[in-house]
Amino acid sequence: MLLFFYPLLLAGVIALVIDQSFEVFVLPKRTDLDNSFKVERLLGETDPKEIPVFGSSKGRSSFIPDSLGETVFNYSMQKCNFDVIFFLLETELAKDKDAPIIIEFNARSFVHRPQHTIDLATFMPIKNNPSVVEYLAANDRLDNFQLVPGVRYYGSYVRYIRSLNRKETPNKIINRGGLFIDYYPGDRLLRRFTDSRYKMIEKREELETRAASGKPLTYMEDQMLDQLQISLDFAYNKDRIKKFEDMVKSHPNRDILMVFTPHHPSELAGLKNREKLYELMDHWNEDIPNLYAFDYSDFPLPDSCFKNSSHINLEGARRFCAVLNDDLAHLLN
Amino acid sequence: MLFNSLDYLIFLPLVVVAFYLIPNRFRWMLLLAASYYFYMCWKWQYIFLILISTMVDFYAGIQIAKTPDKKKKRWFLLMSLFVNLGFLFYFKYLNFFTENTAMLLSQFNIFTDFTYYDILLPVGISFYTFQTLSYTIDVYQGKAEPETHLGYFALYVSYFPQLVAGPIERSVRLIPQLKREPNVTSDDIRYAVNKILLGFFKKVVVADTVSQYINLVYANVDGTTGTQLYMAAFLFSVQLFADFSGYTDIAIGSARLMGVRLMENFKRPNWQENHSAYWANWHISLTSWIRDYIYIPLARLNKSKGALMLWSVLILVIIGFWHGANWTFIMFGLTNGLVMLTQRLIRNTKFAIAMRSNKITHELQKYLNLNILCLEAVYFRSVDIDMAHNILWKIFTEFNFSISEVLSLYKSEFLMAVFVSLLLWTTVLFNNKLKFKYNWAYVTTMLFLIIFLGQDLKNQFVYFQF
Repeated sequence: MLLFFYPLLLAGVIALVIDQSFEVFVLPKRTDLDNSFKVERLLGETDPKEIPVFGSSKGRSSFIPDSLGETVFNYSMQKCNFDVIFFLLETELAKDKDAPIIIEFNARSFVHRPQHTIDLATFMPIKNNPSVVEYLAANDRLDNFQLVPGVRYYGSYVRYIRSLNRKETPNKIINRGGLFIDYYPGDRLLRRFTDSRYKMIEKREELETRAASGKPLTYMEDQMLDQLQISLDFAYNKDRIKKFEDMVKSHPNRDILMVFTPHHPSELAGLKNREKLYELMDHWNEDIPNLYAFDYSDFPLPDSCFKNSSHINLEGARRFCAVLNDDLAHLLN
Repeated sequence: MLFNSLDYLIFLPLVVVAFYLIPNRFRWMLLLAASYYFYMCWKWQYIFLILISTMVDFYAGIQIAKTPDKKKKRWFLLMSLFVNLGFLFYFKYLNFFTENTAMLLSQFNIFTDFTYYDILLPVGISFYTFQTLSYTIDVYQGKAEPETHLGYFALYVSYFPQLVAGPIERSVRLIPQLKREPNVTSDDIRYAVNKILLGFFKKVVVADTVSQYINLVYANVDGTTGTQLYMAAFLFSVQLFADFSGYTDIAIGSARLMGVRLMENFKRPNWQENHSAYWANWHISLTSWIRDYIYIPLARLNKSKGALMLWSVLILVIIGFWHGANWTFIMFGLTNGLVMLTQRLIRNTKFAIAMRSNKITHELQKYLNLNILCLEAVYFRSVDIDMAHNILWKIFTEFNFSISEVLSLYKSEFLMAVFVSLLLWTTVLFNNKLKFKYNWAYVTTMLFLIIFLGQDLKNQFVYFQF
């Protein structure tokens, strides 16, 4: 029977050794591009002048802190929609400061899909922080084993180590949390990306037309239509928008700047309910004094300013930030 | 409860310890309670399906053996088939049939009000249904004695190591092992521990890492090239093998700890010279079930050469459909069947004999066979037929040998997938030659790999959905 238990004991020892090595050798090497570093920084940052930028990968590749001001820090993270932004915003608004907050938002910002949004690795080294634990639990992303030394980082080691390997190169610029790539995939590859999106749009049209004509959709088609609508349309989620607005209204001393960043035309082509988006932005500008919406979706950028059909590249970010800086100057200073 | 969960890592040692602390005559109670608890952790209501199947088949088995009247015997067999296949049909195939009937009628401009029934497929229903059916058929055919102890029979139907994803065991093999006093040696324990570790490694390190790349590619079929799709198809065969054989390894290891020897379900299936050999070594408990209870009876009906060919294709279509109620699975089975048929037809040609006689060309033949299997598995992985055809079309028209093209998208996920696939290959080779003298090194290495490279514990096994 001892033979059966000794691997369990050995597993415990190995787990603890890996856990401690990880804490000692890996965690201190995080860079300001790392998601967990960003969250930890936000929780501990007390500079009253810091202007945080929250957003998704679009935000990370669009806002160049150096172009916007000395005190700007880009906290944007991949797959970060309002599930995460609520948490970041709550944390920031709890601070005793008046600096404005920039939020990148896009058509899918208000989609509520925790499984596709909150990457646990984002919060890994600080998951013993009570507010993070509470937040993860509220989003059903916390397992009890994640609080146990030895296994708390299980499943995240590789992702984490992979994210450390981010060094600045001539065509990869890292600037206070922002990541800007000097890369254009070429006409052929970009066309492949955009064609893919146009096909999705066509498929949605086809399924919607069929459903409207009363012809039955198969279960899989029905599921596909749901997914296509989530991917292409503006997610007008009333409850989440209201929650966000209440949060903003309760802190009238903080200006919140909502920026819809430049999009490739293929991405906008599928945005069927665009008028809802405009209505919402108008409502913010007119009815909530400290909430400002800026629409750069149609910002004129050539294809060569895109890294792929969803993200702009370094050149695109430079052009965008030059204009943004002028537009926001009166609010940022 | 998932095998790859912390819950199971607590559950299994507790059950094993309790198993050895109590006398043999009470062990069936412990294992039955543990098995029901194991199943109820997922959705407790569905335990009633297992209970009904158990009661019906227990009763049917005894009645079949007791009555001398052949008509009555058949009636009891039909009752068992009706109940078990009825459950399977309702939970797994009802929507498929209603949906396709509605689609068919709509071709004739008859539009019916098709309703999709929101039915949650009970985990493992395809496995335990086939297992319990084999019992009644064996009793009917006189190959097995009816089990008169309801407790042991219930345990046979629900034995937790193999309840939700096999191996599909026959009563004549499993029930006697459950009854006897286990004779577990230190070699058995070592074997069991090694097997469980290998299973965890295959699942949480290999299958779950490889699936990250495959999921990304399949979520962006139009944005990826034929070469990338080919790589995803190739890696999917690794994922499928690692996932399913990983589950079976944990099942075999868990059972061995309590003195039960479950059958091996995989014997290096992917590296075989043709599809017949592949299916003889892949999911052996299912293919042997289909052979014994469907193919052989069909062959008895008509054993002409043409009929046997037809039956061969038909059973692969049935195997495909067993996997899921979707045309993709039917196509998966059909393409496998047709390729197997073609391979059989050309097997005795001079060219084929020459291929087999040379070691290099024979290995080449295995490689070619693996490629065909990977392409067929595109149907298995795709959401619908259109998607599968789109992928296959792109593979056939766009494939080239450009590594840079493969690495142009999802590079780190691809490299990790290749790395763990190579680890799997090394581990399987090493494991086959392993001597217990170096067992501590094997255990330590596997534990390190599982803890360090393991993925999230929430990923289900692919075969759980069947």
